[in-house]
Amino acid sequence: MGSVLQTYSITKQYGKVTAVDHVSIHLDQGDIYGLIGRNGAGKTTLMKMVSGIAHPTSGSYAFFEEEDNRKTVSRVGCMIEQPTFYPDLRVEDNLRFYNTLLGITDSRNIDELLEMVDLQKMRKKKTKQLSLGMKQRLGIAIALIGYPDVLILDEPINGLDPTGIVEVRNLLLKLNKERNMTLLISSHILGELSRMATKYGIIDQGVLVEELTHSELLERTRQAVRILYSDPRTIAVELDGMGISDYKVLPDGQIMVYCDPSLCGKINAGLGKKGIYVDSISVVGQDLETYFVGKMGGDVHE
Amino acid sequence: MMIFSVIGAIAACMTGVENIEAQAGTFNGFTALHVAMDSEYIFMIVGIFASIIFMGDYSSGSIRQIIGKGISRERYVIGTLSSVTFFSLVLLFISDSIAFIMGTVFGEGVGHVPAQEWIWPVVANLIFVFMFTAFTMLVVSVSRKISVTLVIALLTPTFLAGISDIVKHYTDRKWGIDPSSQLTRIMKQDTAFIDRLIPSVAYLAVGCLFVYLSIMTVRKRDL
Repeated sequence: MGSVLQTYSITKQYGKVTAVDHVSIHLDQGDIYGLIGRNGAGKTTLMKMVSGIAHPTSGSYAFFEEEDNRKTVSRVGCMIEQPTFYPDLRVEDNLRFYNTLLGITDSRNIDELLEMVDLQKMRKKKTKQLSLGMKQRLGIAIALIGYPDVLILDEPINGLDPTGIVEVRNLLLKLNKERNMTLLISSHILGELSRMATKYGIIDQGVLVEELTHSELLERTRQAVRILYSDPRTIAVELDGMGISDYKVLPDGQIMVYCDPSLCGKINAGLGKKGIYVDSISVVGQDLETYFVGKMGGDVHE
Repeated sequence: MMIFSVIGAIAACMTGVENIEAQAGTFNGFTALHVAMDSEYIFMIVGIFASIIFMGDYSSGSIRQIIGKGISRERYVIGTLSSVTFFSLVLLFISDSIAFIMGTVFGEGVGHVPAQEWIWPVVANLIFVFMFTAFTMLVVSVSRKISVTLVIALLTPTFLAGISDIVKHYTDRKWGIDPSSQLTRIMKQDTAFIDRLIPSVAYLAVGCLFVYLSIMTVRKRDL
C-alpha cells in the first residue's frame, strides 16, 4: 500500500500556546484514520494544516510522498470545522459553484453527489433553509466534488441524528471500499469511530499520545479472565473440556481466557468440581472508552 | 447593486445641481454625468459594495472551502479582485447612466461635449476604481472585520480629498490625488498633459502595490 499522508513533526503555535506539538501521523492507501481527542486537543488544527488552510510553525507534511503539496492538493477534499457555503444560493448552485471552480463542466456529478448524501429533494432549497444535519451532508458532498483520493473530515457526524449518523457512516465506508478513498476523520465520539476506523491517532493537548491499528486496539482492549495456577497445562485441558478454546498460556503460571467476563464464576466452579483450586482468578482488561480515557486523562463520551 | 447605483447617482446629482446652480452653470445630461463621475459619493458606494463582497467569503468561511479545494491563494486574490472590480465598474456605469438621464430629463437636454475630452477622464476613473477596490481588498485581508472595512471605505475618498488640498496648497502642480478634483482638471483644455497623466499613473502603481500586498497577506495568514 502506498503512503497517502505523512506528517513530519508538524507543529503549530499561536503565540505561547502550542496547539499541535511535533505530531507525526502516517496514512496508507485505503486507511480510515480516526483522530481521537477531547475538544481543544489539536485535531482541527492538525487538519487545517494538512488541508493548506493554516501554515505549520515547523515541520511539514506530504501527500503521496510528493514534496510539493501544490501538485497533490487537487486530490484532497476536506470539510474543516463547520460546513461552509453561500447561504443565499440553492443547494445545487453551491455544488455548481465548486464544479466551476474546479473546471468541471459536466454537471451530472451533482445528481450523483446529491443522491449519495440523500439531498435530492432539497436541491432547490437555499442552504440557509437546511437543518444542521442537512448542512453537514452538503458539506460532505462539496468535499467530494472532483472525487478526491483523500477525504479529510472534521467531526462529520456532529449534529446528526442517529439515522443520519448511520447514513454518513455507511457512505464513508462505501467510499472507502468502492473507491478506495483514504479517509482522515476526527471525532470525540468513540463508538462511531470504532465502527469505521482502521487506524487511530490519539491526540491530547497537541501531542500524539499513541498511534495504533484497529487490531492492536482490539488486542489492548480485550477483556479476559486471568487464572494463576502452578500447572497451567491442567487448566488448559479442563478449559478444552468446557468447550473454551480461546485462551493463552503465559509464563509464570498464567492463563488468559478470552471470553465474556461473566463466565469467570462458571469457570471457577467448573475447575472446583474437578478438584482444581486455582491461586487466583480475576477479570482483567478494559473496554474501549476506558482505554482511551486512560490515554487522554479526561472525559470522552460515546 | 441597482439600489447602490441609484443611491449613488441621486446623491451625486443633488450635490452637483447645488454646485452648478451656485456657479450659474448649465445643468444638462453631460454636466450631470460630469458631476457623477467627479463625485465622492459614488466612490463611497463602490467602497461599501466591494467591502461587503470581499468580507462575504471570510464571514461565511467560504474562503477556507475555496482554498481547501486546491485553488491557490494568489489565484483567489486575483480572481476575486477582478470580479469585484468589474462589478464595481458596472455599478459606476449604472450610476453615471442614471445621472446622465436625470440631467437630460430634468435639465436642459443632453448638452454637448467633444468626445475626445472624455477619453482620459473615463480611463482615469477606471484606474481609480481598480486602485480603490484593491485597497478595499487589502483592508479586508488585514482586518477581516466588516466594521473596519466599511469605515475605511467611507472615509478614504474624503481623506484623499484632504491630502489633495494640502498638496495643492504647497505646490503649484495641479495634480489633485482625489478623483473629485482630478476629473475637472483633466477635462480642462489648459491642463498640461503631465498633470493629466501623473495622478493616473500613480493610482495604477499604487493599485498594483495593493494587489501585491493583498496577495502577500492572504498567502501568509491562516484562514
